[in-house]
Amino acid sequence: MPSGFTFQRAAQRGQGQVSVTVSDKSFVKLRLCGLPALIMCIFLSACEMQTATEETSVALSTAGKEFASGTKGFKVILSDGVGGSFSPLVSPAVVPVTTSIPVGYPGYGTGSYVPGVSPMATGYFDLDGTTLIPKPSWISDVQVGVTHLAGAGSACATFGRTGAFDEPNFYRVSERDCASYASSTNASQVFIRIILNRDTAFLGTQENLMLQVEYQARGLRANSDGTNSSGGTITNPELALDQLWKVFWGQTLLSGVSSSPFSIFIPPNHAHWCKSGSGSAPDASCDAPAGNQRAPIVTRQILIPIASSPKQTVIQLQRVGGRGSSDPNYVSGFGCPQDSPHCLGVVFRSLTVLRI
Amino acid sequence: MKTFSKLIFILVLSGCGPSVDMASFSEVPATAVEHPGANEPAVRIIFHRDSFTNLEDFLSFQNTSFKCLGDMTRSYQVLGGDYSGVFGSSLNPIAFADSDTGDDLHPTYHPSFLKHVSVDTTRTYYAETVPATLQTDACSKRADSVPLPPSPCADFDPPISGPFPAPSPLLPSGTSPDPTPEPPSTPADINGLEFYRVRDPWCLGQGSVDPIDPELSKAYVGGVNLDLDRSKLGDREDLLMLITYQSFVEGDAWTYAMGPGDFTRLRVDLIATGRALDVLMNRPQPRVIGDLGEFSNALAPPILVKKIATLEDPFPSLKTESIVIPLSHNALIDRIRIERIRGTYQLYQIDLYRLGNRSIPAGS
Repeated sequence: MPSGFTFQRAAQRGQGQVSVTVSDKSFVKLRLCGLPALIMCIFLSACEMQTATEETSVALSTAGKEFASGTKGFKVILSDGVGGSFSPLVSPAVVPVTTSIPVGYPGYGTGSYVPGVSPMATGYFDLDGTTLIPKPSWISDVQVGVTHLAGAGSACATFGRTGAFDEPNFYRVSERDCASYASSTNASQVFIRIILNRDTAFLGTQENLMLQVEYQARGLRANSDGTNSSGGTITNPELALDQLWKVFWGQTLLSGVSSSPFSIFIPPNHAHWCKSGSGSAPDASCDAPAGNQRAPIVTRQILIPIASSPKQTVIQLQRVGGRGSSDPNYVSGFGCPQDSPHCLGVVFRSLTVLRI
Repeated sequence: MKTFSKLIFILVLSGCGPSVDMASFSEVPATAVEHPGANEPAVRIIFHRDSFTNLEDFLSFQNTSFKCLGDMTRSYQVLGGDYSGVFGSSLNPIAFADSDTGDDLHPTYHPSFLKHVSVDTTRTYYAETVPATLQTDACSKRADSVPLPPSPCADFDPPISGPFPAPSPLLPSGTSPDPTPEPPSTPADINGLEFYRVRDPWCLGQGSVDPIDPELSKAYVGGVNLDLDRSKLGDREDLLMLITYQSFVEGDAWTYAMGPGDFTRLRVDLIATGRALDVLMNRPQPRVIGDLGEFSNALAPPILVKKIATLEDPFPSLKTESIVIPLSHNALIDRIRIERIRGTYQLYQIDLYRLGNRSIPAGS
């Protein structure tokens, strides 16, 4: 018998595994128990004995199900038009306002949040985007944040309507109209939110998620993505951005920007109004609106390592702000009309979530 | 049988409960004592001068034989704020606790799977001071027969308004040449944000490939080493690396990033160095690979996975790139090297996440 051993009991307690090292002193006490201790280990099926040399710092163990069965992925089409997850056209019916976190949602009883608009009950698609499926059991909800009803004028975030620089039906954000949503508090009203059910019966402990976001992002200046175009001193590169979106993740439904920032989502912008430029007015390198090309539709993959953090239940693509919202004259100086996500803004087309 | 089992179980617990007291269980494994981050499955590295050893700090604190310029002194939790907390625009990042500064080999607490982090540093000593009077000499090439001159090429951006570095010990008044570490005509800043940055035009002769060719002499310096302790990772574990940086394109006016000039290209390689922590920390700067750097050409460590990612941004953006590091494919990989091939860039943050130790492939 070794002079010491590690007594390791797999116990699923929401955070993975509990690992306890028993010293020589403890071993003596256990040995005093004799047969009862042995029987205890037999009945605790996950009990293991290891030599001291096998002692390990258990960070990510295989407690619970590594991989759960069930639907492996789904797609939400971010449109309120025919075939979209948010159809019919009247969606959203109201602009959500701050409310208490409802029962059953992460953070219930701890505060309030700004809810978004959820897909129709029949708004979840298989990965081909055409076959409707039931909402997967590992998803509590998907929400998009709106500031205006669809069809409203001067709308920051909503489902688009016809317009030279708008995008009918798809969820879009027009920075020209987001001036009143510049602060971090209000900025939290513009987002795409995924709320997970981390029950390991539905989502295994060693599973991660892959988000595939199909979107178009357009900036004003090609040199505006973090540099100071006016030649002054930069005190914060984020404030020099035409638009900034980040991915946040958290354990509750509190404001997205108060959760943990995970990564930058935008920039990059994939098209710009001007090749270069300075100040808040367009220069000779800027395209005339009539000849302006829209940003390409791209799909970006975002790997969310949820296996590393069993408590994370909320994933949020969050608009943080932008130079246009803090300085509306900056956007209007470039000739961006109201409701112009294709001038400065973003148009989201679909969101796919995969278990990998 | 079930009832009998429960009965035995209760008897067992009641018999042993008093003996196995909590005091005994509090004796956690030694590895956890040495690495309080051992159970933290992710780490955030913020490349601000406050989190690394730089020339100015070296004169005042944490001056040990195992701590050289460019070595990380502080790392952060991923569930706190990010780099932008430095600007007050977001949540403040939450640092892992600093260890005793007298602890040479563990200058900072971080998850144990991360052995060490360092950046290439070319401003390694004050050229006008007396040789062998500064502690930094042990970490620089100053003792070489033909020492590599210090350069602002790869360093932490000093604040625009100063204070500017001062050599220490100071030379007597009237000494010629004037012991000013940086000629005033060569500004050492990009934007004064104090993050790690490499500015291409200042890198002449600092690279590791060819000291003669002007372009090549600027290449392959200004990279980052992320050294891993594979014994603290599962055999089947991979990592996710998120790198937040900004490339720049030199134009006629520096403040205009876009212009008819240079571009930035970074490359990510996976390397096997086999080196222990004390050796890693004791290497002179800059730690480029090649005869001029950390390894000689003849003894260069094998690059096991080359160009697992190439980063080049046509629109110089503040951005985050996501790269999966497939460690499970080769047990010898112990370094993630972010190699600067060319160009100017500023590095804000790198996050490493463990993707889970899997007994079977995902999706099975």
